[in-house]
Amino acid sequence: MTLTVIKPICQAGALAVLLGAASLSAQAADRIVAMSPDVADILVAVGAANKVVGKNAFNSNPALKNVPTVGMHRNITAESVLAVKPDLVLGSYMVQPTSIYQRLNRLKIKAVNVAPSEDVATFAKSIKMVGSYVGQSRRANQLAGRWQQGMTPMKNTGKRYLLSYDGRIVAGKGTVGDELIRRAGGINAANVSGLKPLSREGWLAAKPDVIIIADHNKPVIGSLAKFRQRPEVAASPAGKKGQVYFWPADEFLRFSLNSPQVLKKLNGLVK
Amino acid sequence: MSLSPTLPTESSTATDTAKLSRNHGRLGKYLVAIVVSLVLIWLALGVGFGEWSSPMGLDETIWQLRYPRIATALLVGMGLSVSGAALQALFENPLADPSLIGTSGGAALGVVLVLALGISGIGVPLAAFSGSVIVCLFILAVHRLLGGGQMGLLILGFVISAFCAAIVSLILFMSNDMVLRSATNWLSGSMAEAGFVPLRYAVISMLAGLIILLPLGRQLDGLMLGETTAMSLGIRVGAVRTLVVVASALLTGAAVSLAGVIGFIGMMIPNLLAIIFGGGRMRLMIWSGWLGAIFLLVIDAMARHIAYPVDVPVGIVLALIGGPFFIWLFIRGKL
Repeated sequence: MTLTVIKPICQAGALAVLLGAASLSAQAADRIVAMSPDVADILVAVGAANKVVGKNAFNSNPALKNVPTVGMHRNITAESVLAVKPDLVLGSYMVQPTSIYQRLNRLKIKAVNVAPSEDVATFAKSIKMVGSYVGQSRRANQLAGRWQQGMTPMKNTGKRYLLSYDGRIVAGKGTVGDELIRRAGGINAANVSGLKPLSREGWLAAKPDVIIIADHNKPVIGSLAKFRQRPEVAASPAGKKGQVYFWPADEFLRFSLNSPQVLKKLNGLVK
Repeated sequence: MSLSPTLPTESSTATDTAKLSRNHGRLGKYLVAIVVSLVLIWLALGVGFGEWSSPMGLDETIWQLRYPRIATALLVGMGLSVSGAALQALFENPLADPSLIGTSGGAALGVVLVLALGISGIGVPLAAFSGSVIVCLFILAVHRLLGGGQMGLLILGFVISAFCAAIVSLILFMSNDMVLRSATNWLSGSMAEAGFVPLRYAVISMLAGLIILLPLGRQLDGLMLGETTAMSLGIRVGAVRTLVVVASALLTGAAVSLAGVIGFIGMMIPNLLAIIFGGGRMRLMIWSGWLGAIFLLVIDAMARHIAYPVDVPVGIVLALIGGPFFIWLFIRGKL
């Protein structure tokens, strides 16, 4: 009897402490550093662009054009982050070294990894977390809800996709590309795990209906016409039907707020 | 002057017989080498899709994928091994390989510039060849200016290669993650680009390199006795050094343009042959070319078979073999 009374009281207490902490962080967060591009985009989307005082060098969001950079997310240092005097530092799995969060916390700067892994549930959760830290929970929750809804798996089309970085390295099982293909109703034609270079005979055996390559590799590949002349591509259904495209790498190699549109775009390629 | 034919003496008959038997022995070796090569090429042609099937039944598409890869492996293995054999004699050092004259560093710099900065209008293979030859010629020019003999060339090659590596690292550090991944694959050395690069340009460059290098075998033998002895034998050390470096650059530049930076093979093969058979440098260069070609073909075919459908860079496999080889060489007291 005593236990049944105490348990809900304890749960309510714990919830109150968590909410208090969140609201405290929301109050304190007026100067935010976005260490990774995914988090920077979420901050802009929930209306907190004016609070961002530092971003990573590869961020291309126009709303943060005049925000100073604090280094590259792949190798960020505490000193450059401290220089912009933040009261909150947010980042994701993209930030390296991962010890940066611990280091900043030790220096009494609140640093949070809002997306420690690369999956749909974690990305949706990261939208909500970012919202809570900037006092925009309602807006963030709505955004996360819309995003998750947009990521609902589509009807199976049976089409085989090959998402490639450079016409050689492909997005295999367990990658963001793999998740996007499956949710777009397709089949990942890359029979490998992770991002791996696929042999040319592997490309031939994959028999993709659609091939997508990162567009910044155009200078290396040449042109789409040249790529389609490769024997393994010319023999594939994608090569025969002209279903070979250049897309920005960020659209299919990591999750972003734009991922639901990417799903529709992928699905729409089916002819 | 008598018109009648001179009768052979007993000793000249013995010499002729020895010469004839030596020629037969040599011919036999060449025949064995040709047969072994053909058998291995045949076997490598049948490797694909994670299994082996007779090359007789290959359809045209698969043939278009496999034969350039076989040809590339043979050319690259030959080019790197021949230049390795020549450079080991030039530097009187069994650890010398084509990377010592800046070819690998220069090629890496050229390719990473293309990959990371997206410079259009120049392909990766051309960037590799140009980088390789330009850096090598730069080393030669600086050496000509500063002097320092063989040791000077060795130090310059080492320092400028390290400088190129530093620039490559800096560019990769400044690039995004995926450029890093693509460049790493190329820097590991791989046959994956076989077929995209026209072989004829590489063949021309390699032929030029061989034409310069092979006749220098006797001079290289002299150089192995030391610079002073070589000069006393009437060898023009400076000219021979320049020719060997230029020829090696042509061979290695063509090889890296086809398959990226592949280490160890240029060091391993000539050492292996020198330890087992010995002999003059010209002979060593010819047999190094043959064994290097066959060796790379076999390693690549095995990697293709085991890792299918992943295309494991053959340079990684060679580095795995090269480490233990170094230890073996060390144990034999050759270092």
